[in-house]
Amino acid sequence: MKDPARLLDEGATAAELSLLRAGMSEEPSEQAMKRLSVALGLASGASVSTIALKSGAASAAVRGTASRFAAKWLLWGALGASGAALVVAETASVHRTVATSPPGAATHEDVIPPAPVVTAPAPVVTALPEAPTTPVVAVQSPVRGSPSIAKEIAALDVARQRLGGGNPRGALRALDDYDRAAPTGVLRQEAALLRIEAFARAGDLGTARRLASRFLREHPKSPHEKRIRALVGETP
Amino acid sequence: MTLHLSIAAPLGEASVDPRERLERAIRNDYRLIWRLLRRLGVPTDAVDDAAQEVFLIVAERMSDIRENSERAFAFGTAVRVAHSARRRRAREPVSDQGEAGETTAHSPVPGADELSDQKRARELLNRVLDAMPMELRTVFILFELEGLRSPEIAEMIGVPLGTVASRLRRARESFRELVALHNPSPGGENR
Repeated sequence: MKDPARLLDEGATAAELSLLRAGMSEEPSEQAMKRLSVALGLASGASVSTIALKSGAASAAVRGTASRFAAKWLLWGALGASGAALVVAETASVHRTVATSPPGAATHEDVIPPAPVVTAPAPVVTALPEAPTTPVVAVQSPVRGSPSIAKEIAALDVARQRLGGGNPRGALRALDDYDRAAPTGVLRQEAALLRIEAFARAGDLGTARRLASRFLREHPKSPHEKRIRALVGETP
Repeated sequence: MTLHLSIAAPLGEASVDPRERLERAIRNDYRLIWRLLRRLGVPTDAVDDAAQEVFLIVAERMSDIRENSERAFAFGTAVRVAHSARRRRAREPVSDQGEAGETTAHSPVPGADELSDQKRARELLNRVLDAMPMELRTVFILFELEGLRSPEIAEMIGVPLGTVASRLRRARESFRELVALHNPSPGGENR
């Protein structure tokens, strides 16, 4: 069956064309894509340079740190307890596959089973390794152009790396550095998320819960809500 | 909610790493999903978060999503997320700002007049689309605005090819009637 020509190419009125063109020209901001990459722990990957950065401004800054991280952790660690459940699921010999079922698929409320989130909290770290002595600011790569977002990503990657390496106290120090360096940063929500996770992993659940409560009060519609509740053992 | 589940191959047989699939999904589909959310009526000040929510869900479910069905899954998720976002917005007190916060920074940088025209055109486009039944609207958006071909649309929304063709035909009729309704000027007749 042959497709008809698009209206844009054939037969549209001027009014129709103006609407179609206006719709097609609307684009997401680069910043939004960068935030997504950070939220998913993909910011360090080479993909960032192709996903998020048309200008490539931050890619140099993040590329250098990519290989040092465990890919598994970057992806699923960033997703926390529910991510952990997925990792567990991956080890099973048989797992479910969602067919191409978009009409019935996925709302956030629907697809995240609460049980594994609640019963599989982030592991509490009892031995806290020494933090690397390198301050976060040293991680910033020399990037031409406007590097502020690149610096933010790099700084959060340090925190994420320490967290993934079982060093939540080191992650907290990195986050303190981030807060000082980027008091109005665009990735502050992601930083707050990491901080909550760091306190939870360090065993300071009280502080984690207090921060989580404040975060949810300040960002009631944040896409991180479920993850944050899971981190502190709250049922969504 | 109906989830169509099937038994997948064991993990060891998977050919593509989930992280790689996620990166690819974002690379290929982020813009499409973001614009889809906008055309499904998610306000400009909420669309970034909505798009992020879609891909967080995709990431969380990646091990369940059949390979090469990532776009279909993201699409279905976006439809649901858009519905939730609109429902949430409808419950909120009406703001004076409305869509005034149109994030024109997200778009190429046109001049002031053009900016205003584009903004008006987008608002009108959303109103027109909003007046169309959902099953027609999605096919129209995917074909006319996103340039996808019918077979891909059929796979994404899970209907036969013939259904896509008939929905597209009806969607075009509806679109034209609605645009004419909003643009009764002779300019609307220029071909």
